[in-house]
Amino acid sequence: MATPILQIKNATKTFGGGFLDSAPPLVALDRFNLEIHESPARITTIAGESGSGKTTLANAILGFMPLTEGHILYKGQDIGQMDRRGRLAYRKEVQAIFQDPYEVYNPFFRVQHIFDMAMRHFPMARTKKEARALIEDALKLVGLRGDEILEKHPHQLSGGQRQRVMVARAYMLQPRLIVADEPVSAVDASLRAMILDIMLRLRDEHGISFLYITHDLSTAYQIGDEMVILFQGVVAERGHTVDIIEHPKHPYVQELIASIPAPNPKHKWDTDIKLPPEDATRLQRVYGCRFYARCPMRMDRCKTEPPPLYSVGDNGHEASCFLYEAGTPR
Amino acid sequence: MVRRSVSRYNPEWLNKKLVIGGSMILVVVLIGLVGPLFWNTDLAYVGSSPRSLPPIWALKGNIAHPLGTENMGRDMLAQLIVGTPSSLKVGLIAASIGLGVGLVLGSLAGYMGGKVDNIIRTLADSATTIPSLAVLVVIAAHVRMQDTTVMALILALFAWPHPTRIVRAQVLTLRERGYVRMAILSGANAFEVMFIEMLPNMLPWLAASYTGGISGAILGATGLEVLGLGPARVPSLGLIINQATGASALMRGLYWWWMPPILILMIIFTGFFLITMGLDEIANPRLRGVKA
Repeated sequence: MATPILQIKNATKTFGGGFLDSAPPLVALDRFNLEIHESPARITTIAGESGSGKTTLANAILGFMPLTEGHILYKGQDIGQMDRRGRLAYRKEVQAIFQDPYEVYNPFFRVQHIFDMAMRHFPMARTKKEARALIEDALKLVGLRGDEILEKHPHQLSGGQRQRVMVARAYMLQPRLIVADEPVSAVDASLRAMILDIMLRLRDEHGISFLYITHDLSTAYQIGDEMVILFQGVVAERGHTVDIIEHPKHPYVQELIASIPAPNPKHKWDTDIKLPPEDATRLQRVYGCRFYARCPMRMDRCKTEPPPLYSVGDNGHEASCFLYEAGTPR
Repeated sequence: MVRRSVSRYNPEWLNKKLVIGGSMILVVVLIGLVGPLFWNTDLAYVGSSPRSLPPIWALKGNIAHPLGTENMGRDMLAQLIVGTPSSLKVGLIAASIGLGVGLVLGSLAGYMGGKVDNIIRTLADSATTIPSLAVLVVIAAHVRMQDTTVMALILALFAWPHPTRIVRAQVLTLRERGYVRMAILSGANAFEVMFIEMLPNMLPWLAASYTGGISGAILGATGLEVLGLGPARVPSLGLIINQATGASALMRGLYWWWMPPILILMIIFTGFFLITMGLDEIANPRLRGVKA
């Protein structure tokens, strides 16, 4: 098999716990592994609640934050040890869309700036006319026109327009992978559908893979191919999106999927979810299973021993729970 | 459809505060630039004119000395024409050096962090706790000052910590901004991130720091001159006040001696303050409200 475009090996990130820091280090991401292949293009979802390490992972992949341990390889090359040229190539091929469409614009410049900047470093057009054509082409994909927005200041655009411009910018660079960190969390429902649809089109028509980071399982179900569910920095369950959503194995994921609200007014909320206070869960951090304190199926050994990933089905469906030690899916 | 002008003469630069403040400073600058063309600046020196003449509007006023003369026979108008630019020059030189040093040190500290940051931060913090006037008095008393440039250099010793701290703090917050990340994703290097993405967003703070630095340096220089520690041969606004107090001008009712330099200093300080506020509104379009 060809070298994966992105390979995450044993990625670990801890915060705090320095020489003079008396508090124990916070493990944001713990020995995380992931491979993303260039073709066929897939949408890989990283899902999890706040503090599960999703954004830490995105920041590490985009090179904003060095890992404490482990490596991120782009076409077999460690992104932490690239020279300037290699890094520039990496930048062009791995782009990002962020959650907050307000923060990503420099208030000092007009919208045009966001395209100019990319054009300056990644030579794609020889003349201004060519550049403008590329920009218009990218904007067309998201249903915008250059003369409507390029000369405006970002604060004159709506949130939805801003986010669509960010999608257009990422697309214009023709990357192989887009890290989309909660791209639809800050836009309204109709625009959400539109952006998700654009993501699907980019995957199918342009062969762009996505790392779709979200807390929203329903959008992941709509567009995702593969899925990884993180809980406090470790993988709870991974596999095909449909397998996980329809047959969740890990107790945490089962609870998570049961908690998706159904759009049915007659539906009565009969599952009674009891969560212990956050402190109790934190105490279990370093030793056994991180879900121990909240787990309805917990066993004594979960307290002292971290469960590895066990195979629970086809297509690499795995869950980190001792319930599946014998390999017999319930 | 609303067409927006992209010319450099954008209406947003016609900010009221900026225009008023700028005109005030312009007037003060013109005193020094245009004044010598119309008035004989030799009259600024001792014995060039009759003594203690009142200004033209007073009873014994004389057209030859419209703002009057002082105790030692110096023409007031000529003194202001010579003294005002020298005070401005001290402020400009000291604040420019301070801002330049502050930009370099502050961005180094904010960008590199770690040991570099610790050293620069400690230096800047310690320097701000030193009572500058006391040190300046000691230094000024030991340095022979022929002209105002030396004094500007001495004042610059205390003009860098404030810009350094401001730039460092701004770099630290701006480093985490989405648009800085966007620039990095677009392949920008550290230099471009600093000067294209961050610097324009620091302008309000830099402008405030710079104009504040100029005012501060002028105030410091004036303070030294009033104490008699400035260059004694070249007229300056502070020196006029020093001579006026030395000759008890206040008690003797020679208001035309001590009042004009104070008025000009007030115009300078107010003008720079208004410029700072105007720049703030231009650099930050969100402060302008919905009219754009």
